[in-house]
Amino acid sequence: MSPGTRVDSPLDRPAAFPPEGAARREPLLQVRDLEITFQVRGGEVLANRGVSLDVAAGETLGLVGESGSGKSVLCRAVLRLLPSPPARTKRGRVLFDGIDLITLPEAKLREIRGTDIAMVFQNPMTSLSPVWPIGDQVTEGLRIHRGMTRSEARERGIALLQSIGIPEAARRYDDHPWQWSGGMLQRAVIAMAMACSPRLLLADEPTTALDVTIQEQILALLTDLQAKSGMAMVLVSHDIGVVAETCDRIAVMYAGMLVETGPAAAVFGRPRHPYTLGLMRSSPRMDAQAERLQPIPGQPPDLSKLAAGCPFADRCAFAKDECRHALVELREVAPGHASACLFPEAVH
Amino acid sequence: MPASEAPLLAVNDVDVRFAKPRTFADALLRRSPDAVHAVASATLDLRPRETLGLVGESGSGKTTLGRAILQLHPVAGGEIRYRGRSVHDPMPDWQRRLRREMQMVFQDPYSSLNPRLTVAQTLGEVLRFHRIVPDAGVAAEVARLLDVVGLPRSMADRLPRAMSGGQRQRVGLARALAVRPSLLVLDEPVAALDVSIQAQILNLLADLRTEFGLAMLFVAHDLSVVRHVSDRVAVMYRGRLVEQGTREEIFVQPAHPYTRMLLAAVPQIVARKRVRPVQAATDLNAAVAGGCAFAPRCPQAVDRCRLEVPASTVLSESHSAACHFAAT
Repeated sequence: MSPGTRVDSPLDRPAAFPPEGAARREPLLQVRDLEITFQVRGGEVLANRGVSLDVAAGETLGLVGESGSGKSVLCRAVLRLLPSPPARTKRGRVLFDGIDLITLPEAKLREIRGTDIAMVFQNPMTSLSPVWPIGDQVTEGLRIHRGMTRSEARERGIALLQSIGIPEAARRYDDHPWQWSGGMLQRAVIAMAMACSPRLLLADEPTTALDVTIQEQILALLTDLQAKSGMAMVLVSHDIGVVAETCDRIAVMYAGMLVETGPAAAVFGRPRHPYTLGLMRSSPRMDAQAERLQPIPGQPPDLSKLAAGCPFADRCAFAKDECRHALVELREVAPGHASACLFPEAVH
Repeated sequence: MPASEAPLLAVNDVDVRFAKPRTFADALLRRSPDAVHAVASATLDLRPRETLGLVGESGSGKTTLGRAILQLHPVAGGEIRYRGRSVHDPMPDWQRRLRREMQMVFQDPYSSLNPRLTVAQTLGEVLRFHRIVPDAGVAAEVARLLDVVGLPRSMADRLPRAMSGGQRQRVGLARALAVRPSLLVLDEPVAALDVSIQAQILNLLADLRTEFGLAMLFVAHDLSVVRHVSDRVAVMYRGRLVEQGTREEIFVQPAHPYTRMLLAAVPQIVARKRVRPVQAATDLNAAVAGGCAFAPRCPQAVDRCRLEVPASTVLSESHSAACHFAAT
């Protein structure tokens, strides 16, 4: 597709990926044109605007962007975990295995939450109750959703803790959270998420609170669990190194929009959106000479005062007049690789 | 940097302990409560205009050591000298001078700025207290400082809550620079910032360092950041300095297995997926019985490591590592 041709984006066809023809089966998760706003004093903040993405079974999608870009909002919106008000889903659909989660009755959704779709949050300390034994918390889902008795759940829970690398799992099953270090607790939270064998795991900054050596262990564990179970995974991170090393495909978010999506090798090998390039150039590298960093000038835009045009235009070295007016949306630049830049060829 | 130059700061065999809360049993047995050894026998020095990166995991004692240097924590043993004179020398003139020449920049610019003071008031307070400029010149000096840290002068009347994280960190830097220090202790100065803003602050630090000839102790957990800013690097693990060397020595020829483990774990922007082996969980809370603190996690540990605390092995004039096998 030559730059300049515009794909009109009716609900089902914004340059979604994988590209048409390549998709052999329905993606497990389809987000279509999702728009989420937050009511704030004096107006509305547009946290997600027109987000569309697909995640297939067995695939890891890395969702990357800076704070406030809307990554966590997107994850929570999928499970309808956002408090409403202030959050509102204005438009769009979230299809999980063909079921629209946005319109699903709450009772039905509860059957999906924690069983078919599980989530891991950033800080394991706040995802666990301090007054309950860890093992009981890990197996709560098994007792509620799978109707296991306490002793059945215990047996399964010990096996789960073993499978995620907790030494002496049987003895430590009855420990309380304060007795475990942060990395071990994050493993427990992952075990909790995996308890009901989910088909989709949403991992929201699962390693951000952890030290780098422990982060490596957790990422290895997630990758391994995902490969063994064939589940789909969305890994949210602000660290492009983390997603580059762990994910098959990447979605870069900026100001509530997806600005670039594609295979990890393509996105980081030849970024086609100036924001992706800016993120890469502002990160200090371990493998390059320590020359001067190239920061992205300026600040992210105020999401309550978004003007027309590309939200990145004010910070962009390649911006032209058109960028401030034209509608920007994801368009395919190479098979499976899409950018929301009007001039993707100029990005270098 | 000539090694012969007298160090600006010399930390010699410093211990920092935190007492645990006194328990009922302590009172009953009339004993002093247990202490946690936050920093044990730390020795390092910092030469003028040099940046030393201090890295380690959370709980390794790096922040505590930085704070002890500024006398924000009492030292339980050892000595800290600044320009050859003990920082514990209580002479008021000396203490006042230390408080001017050594400045700290904190991680979280939200909590380290007074929320009720405007930028101009925050900077003016420091300028007046240390009599850096005559009172009539304060406003002009505030404007100059804002220029130095790259903030528009119009920010002078802003309150911290009306600024972004990156802007606040610039105010934190301006406050530290206001008194024209020789030494900055920066405690995770960019950890709370997004990567695009982090790069702005790192470049600013590099400029300030050249412009003002500052020595910096840069405390951070992010190795790629430390590699970017440091001349020399010191690695801490569980309260001990386990390796020190020039940037090249640490990043190219790391001698301590912990340093090697840290370096291998840094995520890289590679264009392909990395396959990592799955390991058993590491319990960072577990007590260390004796010997090398890293032995329980060390792939090379032998019996000796669990019995004997390794002394620092000198590998070159600038490079040392506290491992029994550092030289092999």
